[in-house]
Order: sequence, then structure tokens, then C-alpha cells
Amino acid sequence: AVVSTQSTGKDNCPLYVATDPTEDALKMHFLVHTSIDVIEEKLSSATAANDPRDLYLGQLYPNEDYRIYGYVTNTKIKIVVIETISNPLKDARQVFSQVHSAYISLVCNPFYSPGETITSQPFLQTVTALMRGKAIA
Amino acid sequence: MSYAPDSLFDSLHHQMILYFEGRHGQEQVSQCMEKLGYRVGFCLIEKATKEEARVKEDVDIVKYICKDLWTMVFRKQADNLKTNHTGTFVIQDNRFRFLTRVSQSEQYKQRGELYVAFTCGVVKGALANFGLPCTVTAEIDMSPTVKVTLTLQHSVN
Repeated sequence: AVVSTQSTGKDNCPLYVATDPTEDALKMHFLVHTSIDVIEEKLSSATAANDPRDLYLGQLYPNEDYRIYGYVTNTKIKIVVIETISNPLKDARQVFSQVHSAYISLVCNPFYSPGETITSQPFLQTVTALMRGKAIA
Repeated sequence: MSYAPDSLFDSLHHQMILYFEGRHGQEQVSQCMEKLGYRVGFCLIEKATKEEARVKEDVDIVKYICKDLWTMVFRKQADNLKTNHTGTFVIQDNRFRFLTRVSQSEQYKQRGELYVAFTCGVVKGALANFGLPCTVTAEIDMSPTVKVTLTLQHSVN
């Protein structure tokens, strides 16, 4: 089950963090923070041979209790999803795709300035629903 | 996919210029149009790059602007791209959409500059969203040919 989702902007400031109440929020923050380093490393070290040019980065690094997935958009927004080992996600790409779509809708909203912390209701609701495992129409 | 007729936006663009001129005076028009264009460019790129593979090098980003962004806004690709390999690029459009109906005589040259401000903003916003802050200027040597010059603020390649 997904326990945490975070979106980070171009300058690596967190735009949005959501954590399941059953988990320690601080620990999730820390895990996401370290994942940003891993993401940057993956982005800068991709060689011509093994570079799939995909936005989805897959599992970022091994951890005994959690699986941590990363995704970076072409506009340098990083999305990290953490889930527990038990009850894994069937399709992490789908989750990222939906968070990305929600983010695009948010950016096109003239009342949102890019780089601000996200407080938009539709975005928050989409992410919360995704974390509970419900697919979005 | 069907498009609204070009004339709709051409008319809106023209009216925006007249509106800002009436409201803020001629000196401010370019600035206002550029700010509007910035947000449009920013959002266009956010939407359009969702399905694209990762675009990496600065040159690839500028090529994307010339091909895909130009196609989205003007329904044609830019005609020419030059670079000096140190972070300056010049995009040339030989039939710039907002100037094709403007007469080519000298008296309208200065006014013509107001018509490229929005596009400069679009390019600036698009590049900003790719993470490449830059300055964008445009020259009209011979209408309707327009050259848009981008200078990246730090060339890291």
C-alpha cells in the first residue's frame, strides 16, 4: 500500500508531501530527501548505452521495509512514491502518470504560481485517492 | 483533432495589443504581452512534454522549441535555427503568423515589434519550464521574416 507521495520542484523544494497517518511522517520525509540524491545521480550518469529516455525511473534504491519509486518530468518536477513491501502496487507507472496529469492541471490553473506549495483541493484529492488505491476516472 | 480558425487568435492577439496600449501606454505593451506569453509557454510545455521521452541537452530543448512548440502555436515548424555554440540561438520564421497581414512598408516597422512580444514570452516561458532561464529578443529585418534570439543565461553542456 502506498504510504507516502511527494512532489518536488525544479530547485528541489518540496511542493507537496502526503503521508499515510499510520507511518512516521518524518521518516518518510527523510526517505524522500535521500531519494532526491539518487534521482539526480541517475539523471546525470545515464550513459548512451543504458539510457531508456523514460520519465519513470523505477525503483530507486533498496530498502528493507519500503519500496521507493521515482519519476522525473521533462520540466524537472520529481515525484517520489513510497510503498510498503507487503501489498505492492501493481502498476507504479499508472500512479505516476495520474499524479503528473493532476500536476499539469494544476499548473494550467491561473491561480497557481509555479513553485508555490500546493494547496489546490482537486490535486490533493487526486493524490489522496491514489494513495488509497482507488483508480481515478 | 480540430483546431479553431487561426483568425480567432490573430484577432485576439491584435486586440490584446490595443488594450494594453490604451490602458498602459505604448512603452508597456511589449512587457505586458511578454508576461502573458510567458505563462502560456510555461503551461504549453508542461502539457506537451508529458508523453515525450526525456529531452536532455540544451540543443535538443531548443530544437524541440523550433519544431514542436512552433507547430503547436503556429501550425508550422520554424524555418531556420542557428547557433554560435556558446549558448546563443537564433530561430528564424519566414512567415511569422502575426505579421503576414501587415503591410511591408517602413512605417509599420516599429509597430510590428509589438507583435512579436507575445511570442518572445512564449519562448521564454517554455525554456524556463525546461529549466533554462534565458533572455529572448526578436528582430524584424524584413517582414514577415522574424528572427528570435535566445541567450541562455548559463551554457552548461
